[in-house]
Amino acid sequence: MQKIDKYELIAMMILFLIGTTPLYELGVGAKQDAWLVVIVAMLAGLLLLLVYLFIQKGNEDRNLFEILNQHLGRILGTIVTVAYIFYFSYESMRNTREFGDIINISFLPKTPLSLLMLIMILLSAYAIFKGTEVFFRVVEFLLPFTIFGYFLIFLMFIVSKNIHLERLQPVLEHGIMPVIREAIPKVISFPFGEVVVFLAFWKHLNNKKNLSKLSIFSYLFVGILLLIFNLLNLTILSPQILSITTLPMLRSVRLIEIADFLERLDPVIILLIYIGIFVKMTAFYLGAVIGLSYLIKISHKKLTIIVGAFIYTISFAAPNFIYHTWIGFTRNLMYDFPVFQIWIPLGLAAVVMMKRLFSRKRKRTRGT
Amino acid sequence: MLRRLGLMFLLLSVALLTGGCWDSQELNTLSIISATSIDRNNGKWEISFQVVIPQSIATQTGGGSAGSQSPTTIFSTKGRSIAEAMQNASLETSRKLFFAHNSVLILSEEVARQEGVGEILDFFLRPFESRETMSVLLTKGKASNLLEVLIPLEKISGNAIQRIIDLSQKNLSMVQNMRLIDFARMIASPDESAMAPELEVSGDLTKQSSLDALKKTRNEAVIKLGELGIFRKDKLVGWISQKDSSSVAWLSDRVSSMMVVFPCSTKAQKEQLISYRVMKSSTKLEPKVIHGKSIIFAKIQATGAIDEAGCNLDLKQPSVIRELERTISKQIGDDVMTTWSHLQGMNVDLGGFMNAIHRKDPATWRKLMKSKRPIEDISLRVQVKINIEHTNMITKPYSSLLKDQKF
Repeated sequence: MQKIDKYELIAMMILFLIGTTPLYELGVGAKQDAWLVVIVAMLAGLLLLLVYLFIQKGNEDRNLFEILNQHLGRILGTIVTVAYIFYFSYESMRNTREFGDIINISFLPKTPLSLLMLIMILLSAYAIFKGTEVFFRVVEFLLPFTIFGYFLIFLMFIVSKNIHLERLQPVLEHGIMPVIREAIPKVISFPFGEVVVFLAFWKHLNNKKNLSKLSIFSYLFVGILLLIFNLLNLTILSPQILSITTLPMLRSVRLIEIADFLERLDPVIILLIYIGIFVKMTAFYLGAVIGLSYLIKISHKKLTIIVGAFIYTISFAAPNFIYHTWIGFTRNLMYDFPVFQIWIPLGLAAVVMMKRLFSRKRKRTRGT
Repeated sequence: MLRRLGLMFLLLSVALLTGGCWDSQELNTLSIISATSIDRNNGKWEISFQVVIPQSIATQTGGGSAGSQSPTTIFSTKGRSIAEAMQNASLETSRKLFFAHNSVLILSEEVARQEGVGEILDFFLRPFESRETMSVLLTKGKASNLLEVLIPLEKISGNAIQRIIDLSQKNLSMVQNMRLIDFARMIASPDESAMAPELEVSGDLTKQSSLDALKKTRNEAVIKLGELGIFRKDKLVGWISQKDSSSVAWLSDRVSSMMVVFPCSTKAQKEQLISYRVMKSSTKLEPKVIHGKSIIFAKIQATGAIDEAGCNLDLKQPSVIRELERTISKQIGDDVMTTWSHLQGMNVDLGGFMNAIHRKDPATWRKLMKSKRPIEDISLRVQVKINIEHTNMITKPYSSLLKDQKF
């Protein structure tokens, strides 16, 4: 039985939620109110997190797949498990493809995409080979560097006088509705709802008493971090320029010029982004491996190779980066991901609650 | 054993794969661009690049000395689109054009007036290599001419131009260094008109483009900053003078240092002038609606010192200083109001007025935006508060010593 420490869990949740997010401007459809979108989505996502935690609380020693099969029965449980395996693989593939294309756009335009993605998948596969525990420890090791890096960039934005807070006004020019429409379900599905994959890991936590506290703390920490970077992009680039920029954070960072020598810091941000992407794609990859190991009883190493090969193959599914982001932002986030992040967990929570109520009633009737 | 061999093989293959050989760029295969200019010629884009010649700048320290080779060389290429013109450069250069160090982008008036800058901005914001911190400049003649002028003290004139703008922004405040990203943002903003400083050559250009020019102590031609080009949407619509651009700087809270020259008193002769140097200033725009009419109250505050006094005034007396402060305030206020009427006439918004209204009062903003010339429906009230902190190292003007002298 693999064990996770509480610091490892915090590190994992933080880096997982950072992931690719700082690269995109969440809620840019609401123009200068994009930061409000993040707040709304963060609070709505917190409710989801509570639902996930509720599911886990009732089934302390089981992971998502065991819970599914326990509560939904053999046939339905298997179907949903298979669906989740596909969902996790797909999410992992999305991160792989995104980073491959980012590298192609920025630093290595001529390097074949297939190779970039292969190297990334091999790296993730190696981490998973070594087991859940090792992967979590790696993430714990990466956290201080990442936080320090983002903090440094934040400081440099201030020093280089690129921030214009007045660009956030007028607040709520068209009322609250555009903000809510942007937040739900788009920004909930990415990045906040993706926490659903932690249902596959939580059972490994060695001291489950702290589970809720730790998870909510890390979640809020990341929420504030993402909010700060969302605000930075808005105040540095203005909503108009943001709305046509492929990778806003990369553009903002390039504007830092301090004392004629501290400039062109884009490699730093790419490095930071890669740490996030590595954690996220590996976590989803691991989720898929755990799911498959529940269905098929073969060795962990073989499963890793099978799932890795599958992720690598489907990462070529989109003909280009444009299609990839289009389908991600207009289809997946709107219709597909909410099924796995909102509807199934809600259904599962309902079933868990019903069962608990019934068993309590039965106990009571037996007692009298 | 087999395991070890396998591991060795794996390490080797990783070393091979991660070398990044696809995108290797050797320094001696690149030609580094320091400045770019864009003109129109017979319906085609004409792009000129100022390319640094590494050999000629590597040898000596300190710039501008007449070596045997010019420090930069210029290519001009043509194409139907800007990207095509760039590509055509490969027909004549031996090295790949490297854009990451381009610090200046000069557009000719013709391009900015007729084609608009939309396509140009698209081209320069798109590639990863191009820097959004390059300075955007306009010129009235042919833009590529400016790349040819050799600047004494500096080897690479592209970098020198950027330093000129930086310096005059710091010391004069009427010029603003327009970074490409700021320029693009202002053009895209629904409430703002964009502007860009003009760069001009004064003197005989042909003589200053040869290395022989640097052998003389007096230059045949110099590059200098001129007026301010004003844009509506993405097209140049006019120019405003340097005096107007100072007022624009006052209105948009950009004054960091500026010299204000004014007559000692209204009665005094015109030659009797005092120079006041602004050291710190702030401007606040406050939009209000009074009786259904939008009024912007501009509160200008500045602190500074007397740098030169050409008339006989007792500068030790607070009452005299107060009088001077009032004169300066009135002059700045009048200048700003003159500029305001020019801006209204051109239907452009350089001071951030619509922005101020939009941020404070979106409802009024929407009402104003329905009008064709919203700027004309706004009136401006300026309130200037000047503080003379000290008079530097002497108190009374030197000329006061001469007043009663016989010899």
